[in-house]
Amino acid sequence: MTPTPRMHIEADIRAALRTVIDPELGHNIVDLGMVYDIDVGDAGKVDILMTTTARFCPASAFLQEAVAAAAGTIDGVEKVKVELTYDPPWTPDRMAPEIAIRF
Amino acid sequence: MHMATISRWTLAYFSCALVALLCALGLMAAGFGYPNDGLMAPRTLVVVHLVTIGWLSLLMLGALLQFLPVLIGRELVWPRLPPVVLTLLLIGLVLLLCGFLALDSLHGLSADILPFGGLILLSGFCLAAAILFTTLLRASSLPLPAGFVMLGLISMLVTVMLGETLASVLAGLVGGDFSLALVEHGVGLHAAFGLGGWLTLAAMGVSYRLVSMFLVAPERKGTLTAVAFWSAAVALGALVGALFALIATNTSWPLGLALTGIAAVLAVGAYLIDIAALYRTRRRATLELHMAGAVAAMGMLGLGASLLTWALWSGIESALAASMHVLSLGWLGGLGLAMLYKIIPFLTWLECFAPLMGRITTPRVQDLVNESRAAPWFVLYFAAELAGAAALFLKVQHVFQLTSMLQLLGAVGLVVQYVRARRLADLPTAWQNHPRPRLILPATRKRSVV
Repeated sequence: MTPTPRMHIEADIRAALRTVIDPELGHNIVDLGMVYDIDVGDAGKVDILMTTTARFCPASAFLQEAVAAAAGTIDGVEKVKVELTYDPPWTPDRMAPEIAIRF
Repeated sequence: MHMATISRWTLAYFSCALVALLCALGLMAAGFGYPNDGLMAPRTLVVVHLVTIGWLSLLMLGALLQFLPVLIGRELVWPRLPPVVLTLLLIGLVLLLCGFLALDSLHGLSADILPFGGLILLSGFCLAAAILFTTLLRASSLPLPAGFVMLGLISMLVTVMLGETLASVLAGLVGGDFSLALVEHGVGLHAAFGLGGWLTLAAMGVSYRLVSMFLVAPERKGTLTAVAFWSAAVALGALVGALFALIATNTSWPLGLALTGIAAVLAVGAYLIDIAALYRTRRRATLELHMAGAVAAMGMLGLGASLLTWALWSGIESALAASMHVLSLGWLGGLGLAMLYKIIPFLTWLECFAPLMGRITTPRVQDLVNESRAAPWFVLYFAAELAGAAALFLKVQHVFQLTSMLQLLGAVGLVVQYVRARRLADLPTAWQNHPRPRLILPATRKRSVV
């Protein structure tokens, strides 16, 4: 199966989000398992569903903005909508194994 | 609401609180108050209120302005009022302290300023309670940590009203049998509502949430947490009963006080076991310095509560003084200093780097501090606390002054670390040239800072 342009864009966004570091845990938000879904739609419209480690944390909206800014730098992305959700809430079990070992 | 806003005035509260702590420790080091003076002497009351109002209450209110919205997921109401509260509390405290000095025959001062200062303090605390209660009542549901804070706020109001009545008695504005009964039995209730009800319950509530967040541990919602909360509620209820009995009959209510003691011991025990479980179930293997400091503070709570129980049972005055010292400066003060070591860098990071995330590489919060530089000051502070409590118990004045001096040194060392975090002095070289924030009052941002 050949990767579609949308799959390429999603992979690029995921790579870009690896530059966003959770300020308290010190790892990128993708490997921490905070990015639940990246949906690349028509005309470069991207919907990202994410969470934060603690609900109502004062850094939450900043993380949301950071994700929008990082995703917006990717070629082919025209509009980014980032939604925060706490259903399901983040748990340490969502971390990538290589991060969990160093945690 | 997904994000709690940043309280613009929290750092101002913390700064005033730290100044009060350093002043109090300085006075103790200079031999001001117990054991040089009596336990109820005006000079001792100056030191006690500088610690409990100046240091601990300002610290707790500053923390609640920031963290109550995090606890319940609602914006703080009336964000323009915190500076008014701070001003009222500072003016009220200064007048109260001057009133105590007037009782100590300081020329040129009238004891009448004691209840006047108390009145201003009462207005400041009532305004703070109005902000925090109204915020709490807007929550769709109240988690148990917020329940602790609510009990704490109720105790805060009772403490201040009782304190104002005592101030009126000491200034000679209220007389008769009631005044005698109040001086004999009311001071203990005032201290129990203040240190136990207000400060300890609020600290328990805030710590449940903060410890869970910082350790990445599942929140505690089980039986032990419920036992801690309901025991605390029973203790507080019995204490209120004892207060009503005093008002109605001018005598103490031994059964109510005994019930308070038993329920309080149960609450503290359940809380400490619960927090230990929180540490055990943490996903973060390495303890950062502020969480190690919190362990020392929790140990002080266990020690202080045990010492207080024994002091009340045995009636030994110096043991009572030592237990108060351990509870106020070891448990509450130690926990406060430990949490400030995380909260100040976190607020600084939010102010300086959060808006840049996703655009440039940003440091971690932990990059703003240097733990190896700060750790010795924590060790000194807590070691001096233990030695100071022993010196108080044994009533060795010169040793107590020496330990107070060492504790002051430890506190100054920690304040320097907080200032370094605000000045971005410990950041790795990549961010060394980043613009520094203002030391105390953050610049106003359009969206995120209220």
